[in-house]
Amino acid sequence: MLLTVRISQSGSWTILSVHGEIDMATCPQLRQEIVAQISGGNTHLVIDLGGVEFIDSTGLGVLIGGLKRARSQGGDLRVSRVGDRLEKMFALTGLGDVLAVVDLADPEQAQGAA
Amino acid sequence: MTTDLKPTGGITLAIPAQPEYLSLVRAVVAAAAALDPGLGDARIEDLRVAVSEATTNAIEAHANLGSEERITIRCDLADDRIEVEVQDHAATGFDPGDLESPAPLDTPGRLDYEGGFGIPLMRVLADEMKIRSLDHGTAVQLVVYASPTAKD
Repeated sequence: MLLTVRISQSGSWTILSVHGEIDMATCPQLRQEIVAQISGGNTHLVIDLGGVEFIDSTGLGVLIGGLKRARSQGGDLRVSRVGDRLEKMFALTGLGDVLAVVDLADPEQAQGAA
Repeated sequence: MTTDLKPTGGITLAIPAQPEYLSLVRAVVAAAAALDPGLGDARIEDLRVAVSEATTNAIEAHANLGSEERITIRCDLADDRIEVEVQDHAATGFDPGDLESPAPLDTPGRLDYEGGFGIPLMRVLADEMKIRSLDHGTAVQLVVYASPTAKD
């Protein structure tokens, strides 16, 4: 597989550390993982993008879907370790305006838009 | 005797309409673009995303129509630019005039719809983007110009 997702915990936040490329081929796997966490009651999620080498609009759609789902359950979805490349994608699509970027050590504290 | 430092010419990939091939397409296009010394890493990344978007749309077009034809990705290195054309062979092309830009994400209700970024992204990431409807399919042409100086 081209994508791996590792789960860890930081306070009340569940961290999904993603490694690999997020595109049409791999996004079902990430979507499934996000849905499973929220269904299991972990509604506060941080997607750690530090290991993501590539994302396109299909991948961004999964983040939007996850954000919507988390908020509908009273939670939130935030992102962390957004590199230059992903920051550009967030800026171009406006996703940076709705998705908070946080420090992995303190997901409560939003660092502002990407 | 002169040495032509800059390779010109092209390659064509024909892939099954399956998402598993996206990564391969991106790798091949990026490797071809890297042959051009005028294309820095940032522009190659722009092209990689744009090609991924075009190929994703092509795969979706085939899936929706149950077509088993292959998708072709033609990559041409010219003197001052790289041109990539992604062509699907789905039975009916779509009308580029029908396309609407997606509403900003903070528009109420916009989050309900997760797609719609592909074509706007291609437009901003490539220097030129053209969509042509063919008798059988759609061709998306993406052009990125080389810069004689910038490495990035």
